[in-house]
Amino acid sequence: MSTIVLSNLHKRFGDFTAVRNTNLTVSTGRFVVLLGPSGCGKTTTLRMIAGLELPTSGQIHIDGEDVTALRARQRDIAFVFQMFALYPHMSVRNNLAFPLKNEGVSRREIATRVESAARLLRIETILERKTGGLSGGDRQRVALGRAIVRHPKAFLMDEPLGTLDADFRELMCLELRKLHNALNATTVYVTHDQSEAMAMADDVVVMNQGEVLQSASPHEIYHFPATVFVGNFIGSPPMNFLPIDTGVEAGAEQVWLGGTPVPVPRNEASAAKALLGIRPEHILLDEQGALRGRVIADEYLGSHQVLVVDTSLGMVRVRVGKDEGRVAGSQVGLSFRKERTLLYDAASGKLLPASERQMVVNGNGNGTGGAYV
Amino acid sequence: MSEIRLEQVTKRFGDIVAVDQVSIDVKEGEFVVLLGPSGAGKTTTLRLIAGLERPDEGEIFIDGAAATQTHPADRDVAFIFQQYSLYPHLTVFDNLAFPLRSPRRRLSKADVTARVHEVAQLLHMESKLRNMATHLSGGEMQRVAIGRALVRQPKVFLMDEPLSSLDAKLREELRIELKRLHRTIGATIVYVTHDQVEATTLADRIGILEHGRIVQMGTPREVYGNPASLSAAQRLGSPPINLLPAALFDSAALPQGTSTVAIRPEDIVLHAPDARDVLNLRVLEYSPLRHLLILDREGTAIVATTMTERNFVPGQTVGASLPPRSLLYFRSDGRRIPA
Repeated sequence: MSTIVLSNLHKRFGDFTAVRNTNLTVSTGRFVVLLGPSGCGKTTTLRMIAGLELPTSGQIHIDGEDVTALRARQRDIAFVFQMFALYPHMSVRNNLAFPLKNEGVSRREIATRVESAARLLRIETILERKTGGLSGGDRQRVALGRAIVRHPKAFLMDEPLGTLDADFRELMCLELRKLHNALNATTVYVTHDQSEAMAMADDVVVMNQGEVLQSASPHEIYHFPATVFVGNFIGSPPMNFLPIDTGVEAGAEQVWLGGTPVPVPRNEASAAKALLGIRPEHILLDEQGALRGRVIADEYLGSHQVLVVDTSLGMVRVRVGKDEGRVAGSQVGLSFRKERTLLYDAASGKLLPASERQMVVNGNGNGTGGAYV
Repeated sequence: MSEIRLEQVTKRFGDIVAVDQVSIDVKEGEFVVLLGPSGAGKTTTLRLIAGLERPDEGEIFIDGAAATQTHPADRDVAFIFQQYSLYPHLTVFDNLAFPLRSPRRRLSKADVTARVHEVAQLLHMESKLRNMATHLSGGEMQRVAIGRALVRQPKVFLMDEPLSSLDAKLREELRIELKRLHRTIGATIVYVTHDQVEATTLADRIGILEHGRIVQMGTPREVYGNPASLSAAQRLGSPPINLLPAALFDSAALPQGTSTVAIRPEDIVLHAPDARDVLNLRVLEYSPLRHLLILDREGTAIVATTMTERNFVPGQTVGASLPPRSLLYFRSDGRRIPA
């Protein structure tokens, strides 16, 4: 078991800075997901951990040992790629055994490890089949098996589910997480898919333009995005950001939106220009609401609806219950759940600190009489 | 009057019955979405309406007239495919003007220009008219493809998964645009997809297709809230509807013949544990992104959605109630039992 520590990691390709000043600790047994749009530096970071790229500056420690200058094969970690590189003419058993034969593991030990990995991945029944004819999911299981049999210090995975279709991806997410719970091996996983990240990770590391913007639990990432980018990138639909009329002062307990006061949790820092951030499910339809607008789309999604409301401050997305419908064209008032509003510095895009971050909300918003406290 | 009517239409390919006795009535100006998994017969149904396939049995009427034997070119329908087929060497303007310049139309140059500008305005593409088609984003290309159908002013639009090659953000944008467009021009649209979000957000009525048959047809709210069968109940809903074995319930409280009890995740009400009349359930998993909570009921996973930002922890206990008015009952063959 092992801890991975990145310190001031920096990677340039010519003029292009792929990764800048990245600090990250992946503790033993954690499942950490690097998440971001293409080109954000997540794969480069992973390849540096693997030893497939050398950092321009900075250090990588695995289990306290400085491995920055070590070759990939000296690092004892297993890399699982998006395109599963299997030998199509070999049986599943031989595909699994192959990496071990090369390392000179005894035949008995190989047989034991292959059987136990196959059991874990539930591929015992296809061990004698050639990989060429397998389904995408089974091939992906075999690729994972090849990593597992090596008993590496850590697993690195680069969009391993990218080629599978949506339904199957969801299933594999659950399987991967179960596998992790069984093996408890330190895992660093790269994806651009927020639902994969949120479903599997202990910690999500959101990256953009070579920088780590936030590293936290899925819960914290969703409810307290550290920057405007994170709030926009996570959530479907994304968080709403509304321009506040003036700057905000430390100690402020209300802000002005389009000339109307809106109460907020006590703000602890000042900003010359600020944005109010709020998730679509924390905006309420309220005739007395601070903001008015016209519904331009009512997206019925069965369990709930998303209204797109055209307001003087821009488009606002509101998530409402399945029975609280408003048809396109109607005028609505909107108010904000005070304890769920966040303030951001418009210049830096960063979340401003506030008190009252922990709050209690009753019920789960479903039906009446729910009193979850 | 109904714009499109299919009467007992059947289409076979060899031994496979792709479309099995399908009857559909699409009213003028209606947006109908055919929803189903791949192989359900959606695309074949659409191709039958377009005249790209001939039915083995049954009749098709367009605008009240029998169209079963009519050549596709004479049906006055526009077909929009998943893969937008634009002319890469032409500008957006020329791509839009192309169908109008057909000798059959005999439109003046001024008429063509006026019509192209009108459609470009509708699609918010006026500023891109001079761009080459290849210099557009995926979303813009699909917009031009829709525009090429619009300029012809057909009676009927047939769309086969037009958004499925776009990424999630663009899909949402074009979905909203398509709905707005439908409202503006009042066109009759038959739209095929396997994506339930497109179905519930776009459709006036959804037809659920399975194994070549229509299993239910109704407004999104009807199909979601009042499914005719277990499979229709499972077709809509994300997270999917909970299916619980009847054995988990007091049999006296269930209608006779109940084999499965179903409840939508958002209809489960959460309480503090040990509250009155609630089940104490253990939390298996919690996803803040999808607002869902997976609970354990004697080995059966129950999914509840929750809008609270409380950090539920696997292993903790919550109270849950399943309001009787939200329960749906099904027989072992999947048929619904009216409550």
